[in-house]
Amino acid sequence: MIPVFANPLLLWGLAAASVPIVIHLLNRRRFRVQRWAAMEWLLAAAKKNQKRLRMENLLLLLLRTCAVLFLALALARPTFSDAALSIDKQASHLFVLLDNSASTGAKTGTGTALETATGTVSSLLSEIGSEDPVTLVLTNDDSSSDTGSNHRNGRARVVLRGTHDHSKVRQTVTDLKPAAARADLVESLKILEEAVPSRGAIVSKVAIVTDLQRASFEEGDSRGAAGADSALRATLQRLKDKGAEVVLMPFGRAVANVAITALRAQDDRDVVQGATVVFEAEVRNFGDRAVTAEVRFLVDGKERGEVSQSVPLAARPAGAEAPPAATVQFTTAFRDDEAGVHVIEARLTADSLPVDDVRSFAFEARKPIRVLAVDGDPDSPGATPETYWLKPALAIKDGGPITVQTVTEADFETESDLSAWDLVILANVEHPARTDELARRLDAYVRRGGALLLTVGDRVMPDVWNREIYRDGGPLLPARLDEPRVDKAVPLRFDLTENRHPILADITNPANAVFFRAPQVWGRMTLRDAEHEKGARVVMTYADLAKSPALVERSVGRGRVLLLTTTVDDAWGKLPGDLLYLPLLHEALYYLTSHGNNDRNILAFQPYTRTLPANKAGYEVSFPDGSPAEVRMEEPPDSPSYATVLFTGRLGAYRAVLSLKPPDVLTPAPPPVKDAFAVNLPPAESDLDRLRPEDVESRWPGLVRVAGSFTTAADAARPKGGEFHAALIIAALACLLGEVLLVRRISKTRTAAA
Amino acid sequence: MTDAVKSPIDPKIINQVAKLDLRARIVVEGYVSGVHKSPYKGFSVEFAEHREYAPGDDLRYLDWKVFGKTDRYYIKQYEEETNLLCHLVLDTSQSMDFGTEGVRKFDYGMTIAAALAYLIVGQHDAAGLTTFDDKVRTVLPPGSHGGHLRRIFEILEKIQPGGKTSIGAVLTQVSDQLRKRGLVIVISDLVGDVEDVLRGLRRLRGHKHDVVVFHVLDPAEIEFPFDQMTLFEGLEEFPDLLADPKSLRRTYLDHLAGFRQRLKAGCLAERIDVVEMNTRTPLDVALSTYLAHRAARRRHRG
Repeated sequence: MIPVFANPLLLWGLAAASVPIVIHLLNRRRFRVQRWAAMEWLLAAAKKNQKRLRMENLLLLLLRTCAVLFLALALARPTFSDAALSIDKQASHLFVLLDNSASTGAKTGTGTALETATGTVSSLLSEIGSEDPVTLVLTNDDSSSDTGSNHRNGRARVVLRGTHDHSKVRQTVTDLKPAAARADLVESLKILEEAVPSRGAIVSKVAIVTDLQRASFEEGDSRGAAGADSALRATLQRLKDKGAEVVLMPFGRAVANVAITALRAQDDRDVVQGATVVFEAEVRNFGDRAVTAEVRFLVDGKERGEVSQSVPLAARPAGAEAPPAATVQFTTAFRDDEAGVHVIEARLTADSLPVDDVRSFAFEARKPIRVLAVDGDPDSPGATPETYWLKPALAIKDGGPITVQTVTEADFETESDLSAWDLVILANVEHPARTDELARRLDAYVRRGGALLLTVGDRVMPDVWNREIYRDGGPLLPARLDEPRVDKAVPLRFDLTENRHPILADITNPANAVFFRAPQVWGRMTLRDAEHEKGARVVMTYADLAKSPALVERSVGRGRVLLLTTTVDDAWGKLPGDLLYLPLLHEALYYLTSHGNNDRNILAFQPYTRTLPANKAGYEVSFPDGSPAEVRMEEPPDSPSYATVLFTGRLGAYRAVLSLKPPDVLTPAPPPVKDAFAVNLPPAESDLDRLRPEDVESRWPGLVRVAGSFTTAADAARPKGGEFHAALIIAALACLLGEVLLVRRISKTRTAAA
Repeated sequence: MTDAVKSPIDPKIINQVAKLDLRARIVVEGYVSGVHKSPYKGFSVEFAEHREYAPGDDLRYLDWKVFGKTDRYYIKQYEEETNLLCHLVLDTSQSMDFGTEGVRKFDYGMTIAAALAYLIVGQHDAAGLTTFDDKVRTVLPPGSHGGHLRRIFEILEKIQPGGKTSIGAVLTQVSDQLRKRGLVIVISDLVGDVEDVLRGLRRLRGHKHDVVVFHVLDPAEIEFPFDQMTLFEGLEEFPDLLADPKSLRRTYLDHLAGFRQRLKAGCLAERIDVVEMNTRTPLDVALSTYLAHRAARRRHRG
């Protein structure tokens, strides 16, 4: 007997049998390159095992190919008979609220959960009359056919209102893809309820088709889960009052999920060329089994250094929150020729919900940090210059992330453009701002985002400093200086007890306590009432009874000022040469000069806005797939113009190009500036924890019923295909089982030594 | 930031410091200030006798206990060591030009050599330096003054790794060149035949030198963590190898374990200390080992 295929088009899937063979061949051509020193030892090891490996590979290839063949045949559903549908029809208006949030992209067998929902909607349409109206509400509107960009904000919307064209409903649902957003059932159901008319001649049937993700039911109200619960109850009650029959139709099933829930630079520090940068990915297991996740890092789509790391993740206890995220780090550095904006991607091996297995982070690789060190004591006889220790401690490497230029006080006073420097250090200078003009320049420099580090010494006269940089109304100096106290017989030490300030968090971390002991300091500048100074903050104190301030900071405009109340050389203490010296200086420098990359990293459907320079000619943005994105340019009269990317519903890195006008017709236009930003999924959407259907009915008794359809007769009349495909599925499963067993055996032998 | 150790003695951080003298200073000062506990006992400058205080003496050495008992100021005097000759023998072959975690074996070995030289000369002992690949490339006889230390740093800073290794022949040549008995510290990855390595080391022992071997290996060489198809590019003129590392891992690690075991057994028989240095290992382990040897020599003599 010749079988009839219910889905003959799926026979094309037989071609997929070639996939394992192609992968096998490609794998032989895809390899990473590794320089290797201990080659003599490696070659000796390679001489063994070659024959056995070849046999194992061939057997694996055969099993995989057969599994795909059988599966493709099974999907084509070879059948010998088909049952007709026989359903009672009745006049009604069908309202469908369809959950198409990101969680519905979870794979639940051969397809996604949302694809199974398509079948649910089709069967609903067969339950009503062919001319009955249908209204379709999506929890997350991401309709790519809709060019009215204002609508595509990822939130709930009525996409079809009272249509009689059922084929259009089917087509809309079939074309639907999971949106990169979270479902807010409170808002969605409210929008649907507003579309339902009051009691009338036509019966209103409301079908809530959802994957039952717990977060969809319990978030969306400012009062939390309880608030969401009562808001849903109120809406359901209103629907009941309108005479609507409400049925909740769950689709999908419980699946495990591992997700990357965050990706950022460590401590949210700026990325500086030449400096080692550590990126951190947070990986979270929402499943009930412990797993080991493999995290790969790609920079601008390419592998860079050691890119792959494994992290063990604990299982989620039954009925409890998922365990906290594990952090995986990736360390790299950016060369001088890599200035500009980059995107790093962290990837997991794809699991049941692939959309959260990738996360992107856009950042700017800043040029090396430029430090201007003003040496107030450059050539005192018999002593080292004030910056003798400071300079090599900051610029520890030629061509590294920090460059330091040392100047005298006289040179500093003629320095007209302070904006060329990321950090200015005034080290034991007599006059921090000798003239009003210099005071204004210094103040403007810090207010525009510059950083200022002040260190004291024997040349500092408190009255002069207070007069020049502690001015009423807008002081730069974090606190007024009082008097120097220098006494070698009574040395003090810094207080290095645990301190959460970014400069000291690592240094005073108890895990690092063994490395850092506070060095002796016998000279310090006392301050007048620094603890109560408005706008200032004492960062670190000495370990004396009075807890005298050692480091004090003040935010001024967009910049920061930090005051160290002792010398930065060894005149007043043993700080230079001590283990604390380098980390303290470097942590302070990065703290003072970092501006962060938060603006470049947004969640899906949040608008992205960028300020544009006055000489902009255009700003073009492309989606992660390279297609152009719509940009709205605004030019307010009294402030800088800006561009807004309206639709950010696709996840990944958006690339942008800012073209600039030439200053005049004779000058060529400056080269365009490359820009990028990253769009990611809300982390809460990765938690696929589901409500149980019985919980739904017990929460809102009498208001909603959980069922497969409005009429039980429809369930009985489902089409039954022949059982031939079941045998094929069993054969495919047998091949897969054989493959798994063989892989386990191979893994055991290969990892036994580990 | 994680709880991972972040210390200036961390090789990754030290490796960022370009100036070798600053590097050596940070390692040694960091060690001597007691930040790391030494795994060995016995390092101290030995107390010798008291003498009466004279103006200008360093008050740190004033013995307050004696003052309490006698009402007179006495200064504690210490025995000064001047008689140790130490030969630092550094491998500069191409296989040392390898590192997977930001630190090359060469940088690591060079920092060990610099820190030891700084410490040795700082204690008024004499340090010399020999570098080699398949031949001896540089020889600086031992010396104990500051200018000599600078010369060692200059040589180390100029060296670039390259060339094949032939450690057995080189150590034989070195042992023939060293005229005075002393402590020979060999810093190398020892990639090659273990018997060849042992032959060279035995030769040094045959000339009555104390020998310490710092066996420097990269974490990747110890753990072989690769899991994708990999083309291994051979250094020192070895051919390339395309292989699935997972299938090779067990055999490779067995081979490496065998090498280390035979090396240790051979060295134990000759009373040679082998210190395995993973380039993740804090650098002060090298200092501890050196100081333990120095203490052992003193006990032996005393």
